[in-house]
Amino acid sequence: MDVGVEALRRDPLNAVLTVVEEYEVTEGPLNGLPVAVKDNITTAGIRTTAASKILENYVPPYDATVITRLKKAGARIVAKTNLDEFAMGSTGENSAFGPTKNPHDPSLVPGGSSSGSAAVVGAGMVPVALGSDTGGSIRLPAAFCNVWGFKPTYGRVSRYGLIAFASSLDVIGPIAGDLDILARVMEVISGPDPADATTLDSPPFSYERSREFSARGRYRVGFVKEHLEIVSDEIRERFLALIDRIGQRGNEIVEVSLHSGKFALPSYYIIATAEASSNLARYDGVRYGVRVDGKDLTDTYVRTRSLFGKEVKRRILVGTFVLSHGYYEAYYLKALKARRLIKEEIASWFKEVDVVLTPTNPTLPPRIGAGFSPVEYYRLDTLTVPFSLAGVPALNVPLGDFVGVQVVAPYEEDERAVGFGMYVSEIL
Amino acid sequence: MIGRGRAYVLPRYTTFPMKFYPTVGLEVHVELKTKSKMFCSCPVGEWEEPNTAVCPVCMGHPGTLPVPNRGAVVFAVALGLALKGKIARVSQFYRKNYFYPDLPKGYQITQYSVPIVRNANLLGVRIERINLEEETAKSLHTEDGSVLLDFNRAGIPLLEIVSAPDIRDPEEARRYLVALQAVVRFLGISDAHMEKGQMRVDVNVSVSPDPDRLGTKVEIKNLNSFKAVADAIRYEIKRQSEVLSSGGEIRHETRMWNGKSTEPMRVKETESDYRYFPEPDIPPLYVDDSVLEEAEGMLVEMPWEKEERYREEGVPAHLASILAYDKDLSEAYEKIKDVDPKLTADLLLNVVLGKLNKAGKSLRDFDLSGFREFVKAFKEGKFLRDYLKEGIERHISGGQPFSEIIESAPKVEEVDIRPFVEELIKNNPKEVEKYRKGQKGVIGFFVGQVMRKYRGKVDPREVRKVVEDLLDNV
Ligand SMILES: [Zn+2]
Repeated sequence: MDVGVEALRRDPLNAVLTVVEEYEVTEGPLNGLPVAVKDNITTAGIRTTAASKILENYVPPYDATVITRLKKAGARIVAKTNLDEFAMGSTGENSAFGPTKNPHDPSLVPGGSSSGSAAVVGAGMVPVALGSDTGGSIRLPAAFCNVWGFKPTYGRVSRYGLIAFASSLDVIGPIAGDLDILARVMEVISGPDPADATTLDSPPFSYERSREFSARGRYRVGFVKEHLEIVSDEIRERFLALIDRIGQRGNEIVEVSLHSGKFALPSYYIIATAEASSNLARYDGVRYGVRVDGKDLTDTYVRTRSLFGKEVKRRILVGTFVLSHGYYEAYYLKALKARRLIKEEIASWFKEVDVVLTPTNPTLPPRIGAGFSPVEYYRLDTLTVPFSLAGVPALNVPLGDFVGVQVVAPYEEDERAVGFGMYVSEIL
Repeated sequence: MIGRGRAYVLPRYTTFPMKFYPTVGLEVHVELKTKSKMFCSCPVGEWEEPNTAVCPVCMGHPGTLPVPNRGAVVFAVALGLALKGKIARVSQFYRKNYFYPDLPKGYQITQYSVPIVRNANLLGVRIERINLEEETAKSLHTEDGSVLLDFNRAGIPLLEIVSAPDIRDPEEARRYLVALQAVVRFLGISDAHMEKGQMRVDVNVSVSPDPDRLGTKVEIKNLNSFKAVADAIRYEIKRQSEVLSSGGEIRHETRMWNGKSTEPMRVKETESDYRYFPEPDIPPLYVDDSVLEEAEGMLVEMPWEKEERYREEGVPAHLASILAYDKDLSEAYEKIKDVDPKLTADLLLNVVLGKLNKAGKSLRDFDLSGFREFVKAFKEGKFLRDYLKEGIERHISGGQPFSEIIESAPKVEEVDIRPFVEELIKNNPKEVEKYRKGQKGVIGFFVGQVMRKYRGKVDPREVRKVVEDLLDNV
């Protein structure tokens, strides 16, 4: 396996956009831990592109809160990783700097949008990387690359410094080869942040509480009936085999239902594109980033914003449409209503179960350049999006061979999701 | 208040057969002078160097997030309370999306369906809403056609104060604006200088032949003073009345005031769709008890209450209504009024202000405590009334301290002017005859003669009394 800074420089997977050559290391609990960071998280003085031509030259003047916390805890930021442009994509192919390859089969996609972060961890080049998850962007690539990936509760980790895609859904989280390291990184990056008004008041993530939960044994474990009807056969088999093994350990297995699940993908794409259309308005070439001068102001806007990739343009257009006068109620408000239903239905599960398991990926990873329709690619998010809409924590457990399972826990019970992951890792 | 039925009476030179009912609504933006900006910790102030009071947040850098400034919330609530509005305990920020170089994020964070204040009132004009929002950057258009941007202003807290169409004429609009400016200044939440852009006014004017129905609304922009607002309203009422009288239709549009008339905006404004939606980066805004208490603590006597009190203190009504609505003048008055309220008001408004204006100075350049001693000296009889004006003039244009002015005042002597007046009467029988026939104006002739002889030593009012007395007894 290709390991270390040299490997990051060689980068056979096109997973790295910038190798960080110089850094100071502070003494702290992470003790020099090398961390790769998705290139939509700002790093002061280090180019941060969101894998877009429009930010090709952008060097942020400030560190994201998670970066400040990692540095303070003694971590080393060693690389900025490739992604789907502005985190919009499920395969890693939408980067302006070329697609990232799957570390276990370079002809396959690594999953997106945190493609580079999952790939460098999957290849063993770094022990841990930060990703961001809006509708599955940590969990799906973690599943495709056979690594752990955690989407915390919305608001548990500060978004300050995360280049926004969809503000009400975006979450930063860790991707790691080892669940203990993932939990230690969570301890460092989580907790309230005065710079992000949407962070929760709850204390930082606790490794100890995860360990306690993993040691409990005897769980009531739910699985989502509808999800098993839509996954491919090989994924259903792998999932049921895991459920069997958990059941054999004396745990109670409970079938739960997500009736509102059919609304999840459409309402997700309405809410996410609506927010994105507004979030990406700031890239006008006036204050930073690339500007393409035109004959007048409008022409400059048009030429500059033409630097966005095809998928980003598509989402800006869809988002602009659904917020437009006369369509707002029919699309945006209806999507918010659906989101509430999904959130309530998911919350109700936990009256009967401790955690819910469901597959992460509905199919095995497609080949790079498979050329599906946009909607077919969007379907890759079917199983991850409901938990993004609900804001609840979800951990990808790698089953190997491009298959992952999510452990879903109640709102703010991040330790429970990770703790159950620890339990599963012992019985795998 | 539609249907109140106060018709705008057209000037006499028009011969329209129809009566028109104008309605005016005002949208006022006021910059708040909080310590820091609305959503970041950059300082608020006036800076010479452009783009120095900026940070990644107010420059709209990727990844930055807005955090509402509690101080600005307190200020907004204070204004809401002062104007007897309904304070929303929970309100929501929205994004107003549009592209312009002075707008760092491509959207302005403002309020929409639930503003922080509703249903307020100022001088009987209903205020429908007060929105808490953020300033844009300042654009400077250079001669070579380029645009320079100063983001020091971007993100300064802003209140948008939207009145109902309750205003009927230009003078009512002016009074409303004077009062609003006074209120925010007394509360200490804004300096509200129009010329510095700290207070900006957009006007909506419509005219209807039917008192129970509103006409088509026309928005007027580019109004840089209260006078411009009043002039533009006057012009627009006349223009719309003429259009309607001649069978025309009013177009729903935005017009610019050019100093003489309103003209359609040259840039064709496309039908604007701001795609408002709730700001996902900011949770609902809660006005808790501590915010409310702090805002209550900021409440001070309102100008209309001051006006009432000044009148009770003996200030004539027309002076009281001016004094009470001007922060500097009312503060000056309060410092001196115990000497003599009426005289203080009279001197400040009729003498001091005029001389200061002429000298290009403001009340801040004027020594109020010295002035107080000066007025007191007069009241104690140390000099005569006509020396008051002279002394004020010497202080303002000559910079002489009041202590010296009091020192060098001509001493009041006991002069008996009766013999001189009697002599004048004897020598001017024709004038005396005129007086007898009722031409009271000739008194001035006698008084003038006396004043010339006894300049600075006698009080013209006293002289007048003596002259009248003697003339009546000839
Ligand atoms: Zn700032």
